[in-house]
Amino acid sequence: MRVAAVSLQCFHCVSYQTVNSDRQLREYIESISGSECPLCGIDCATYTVFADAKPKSVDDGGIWKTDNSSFLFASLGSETPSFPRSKSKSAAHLRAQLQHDSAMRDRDVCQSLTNQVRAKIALETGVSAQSGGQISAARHAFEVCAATTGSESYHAAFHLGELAEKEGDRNQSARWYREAAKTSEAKLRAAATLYLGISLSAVGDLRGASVAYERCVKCGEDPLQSMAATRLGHAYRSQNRIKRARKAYRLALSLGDKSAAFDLGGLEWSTGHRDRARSLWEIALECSDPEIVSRSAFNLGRFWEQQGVLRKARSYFHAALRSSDERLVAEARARLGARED
Amino acid sequence: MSPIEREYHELLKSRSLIPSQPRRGQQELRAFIRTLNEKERRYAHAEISRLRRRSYRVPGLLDIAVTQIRNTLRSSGIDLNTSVHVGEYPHAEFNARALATDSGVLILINTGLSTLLDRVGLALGASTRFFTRDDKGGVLVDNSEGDVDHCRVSSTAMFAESVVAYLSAGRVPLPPRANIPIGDHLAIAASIATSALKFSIAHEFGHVLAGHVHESSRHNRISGWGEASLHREYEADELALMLLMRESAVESHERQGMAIAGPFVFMAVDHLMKGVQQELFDLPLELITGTHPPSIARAAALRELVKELSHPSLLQLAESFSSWISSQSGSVVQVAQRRLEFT
Repeated sequence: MRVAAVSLQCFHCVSYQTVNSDRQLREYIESISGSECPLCGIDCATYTVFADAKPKSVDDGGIWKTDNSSFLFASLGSETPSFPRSKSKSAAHLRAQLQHDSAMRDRDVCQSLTNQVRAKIALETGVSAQSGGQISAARHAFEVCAATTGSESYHAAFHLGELAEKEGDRNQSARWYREAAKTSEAKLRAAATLYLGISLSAVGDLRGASVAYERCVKCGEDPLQSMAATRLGHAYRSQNRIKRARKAYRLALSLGDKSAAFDLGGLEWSTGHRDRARSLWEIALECSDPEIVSRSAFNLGRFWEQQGVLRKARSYFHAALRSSDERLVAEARARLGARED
Repeated sequence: MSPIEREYHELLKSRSLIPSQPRRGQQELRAFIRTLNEKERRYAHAEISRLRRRSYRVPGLLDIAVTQIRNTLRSSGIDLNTSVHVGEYPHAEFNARALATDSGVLILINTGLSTLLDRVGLALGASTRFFTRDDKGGVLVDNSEGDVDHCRVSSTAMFAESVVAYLSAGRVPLPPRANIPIGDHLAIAASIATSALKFSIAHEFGHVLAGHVHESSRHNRISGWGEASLHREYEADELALMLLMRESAVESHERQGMAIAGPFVFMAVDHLMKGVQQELFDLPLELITGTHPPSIARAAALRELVKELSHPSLLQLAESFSSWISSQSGSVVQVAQRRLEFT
């Protein structure tokens, strides 16, 4: 079994060895700490060990002989004796060449192993650190992973976007989400483009946000697709592109996002289609967002108030009192008060 | 013919000996290649092409070993500063001898050693089994090699008989060579035999490089250099192993392991033979004389050197092969007791 150690500082493979017993594995692990990375020279303080196979303990008498101490490898007494080394020029010359050869070979193998596992180990380390609240360590690991090529790098970029977003740096989060969106994995691409749109929207780049939301919609991944369609509608509405906004909200609704019915209802109301607005707000009452439910209830209360169906209006205004928006609650209360008067 | 080669031939002539001849002539080799099946031809394609370019002239194991050592010295930028010729001579010692002459240094391999190591290689090659892993990491041994299985049994017997033939200096006849089909097993056999013989020869080159040879030997006296110097022997071993490691430095991990296994196979055979002699003649080890330190000590020194210069994992093959050899001591004793009763 070949085992290798990856530094959790530089995420390079710093050493490797072939072992064929638990004892050899233990000895190898004990020898790693303090090793110098052959690829970048830093000291390895913390590391993770990986193997190319699962450790299997082997029964004595099986076809394997592990830890075999044939006569040639029997220790001479309790200590390993020291043998004098040749002081000849030829010996020194050969030794230097062999040490150089060995160092080059170790470097090549470590580089090859690093290329194989660096992204995966860095990503796993980052995720673990992130869930443990070690943000700095997580960021470092994700940055290392994001600098590699391959699918893990996009996942790392997405995590970096999340970290930047939590810290309120929307420009940075947009940068990382844009990077993550280059992946070929549909789900990740959908998530990255959605969050890219959210970040761009937050910094006022509504056109950029629209493009990102459209890309997310095209990914076809539910429920991200419907969320993106709703937000696309918001973006178009903010840009006063009402026709496109309407189309986006309709799409979101068809994909199952009932919250879009609230916004679509608002558009219909503003263009004089009152009945359409009412039926849309009634649909919005079924969405999972309690704030949208409260607002829809308020709007329905206004509708029925205008229709003169006051009992219905009152019941909707009561429902609107659950809103967290104080102004809305005050408005609803006022209308209820006026009615009772 | 160079002066040192001439001295070698004169030495042989003075003892009424003739140089050993190549095993196979050109016609014989061509005929042998024609008998190969398609699989064997494919496996040995590179080797057959090489033979064709050399008009089917095959260097012996000794010539191959010496050429490779010289190439390593050259590529390492090491100059011998003296002429060296390697040849066979019946000096009856397992280890090679180095003799300083007016023209340079003669390195003499005991007659029969290269044949013995060839047989050792065959036995180890036939005894090697290949495996793969299943999805759960379990071991799947290749059981499809029926023809090699048959060779495994016969080559184990051949090993014991070959060791006894060598120990008896030809009084007990050499058994026929096991016929392993062309493939990985034969490749392992050739690699081990060459590596073991190379170590024996390179050890003497080590004495030359360290300047030991001209210190004490005199022309036409095959008596070594007086009292064996432990330090010199370890030094020569160190240089020899480094030459072997240098040669395989750019090879794969497995080939490096094979190159390093040769010295340990050599030591294991030496230890086996001394053990058999102890058993047969009921002698303490100290009375089984030799000019070198015990194989155990030499092997321990080499092991430390490998760990110092490279990876301990390179010792895996050495460990396996030497274990197999040491496990054959009982068989060798039995064959020796049986054979020697009738001679």
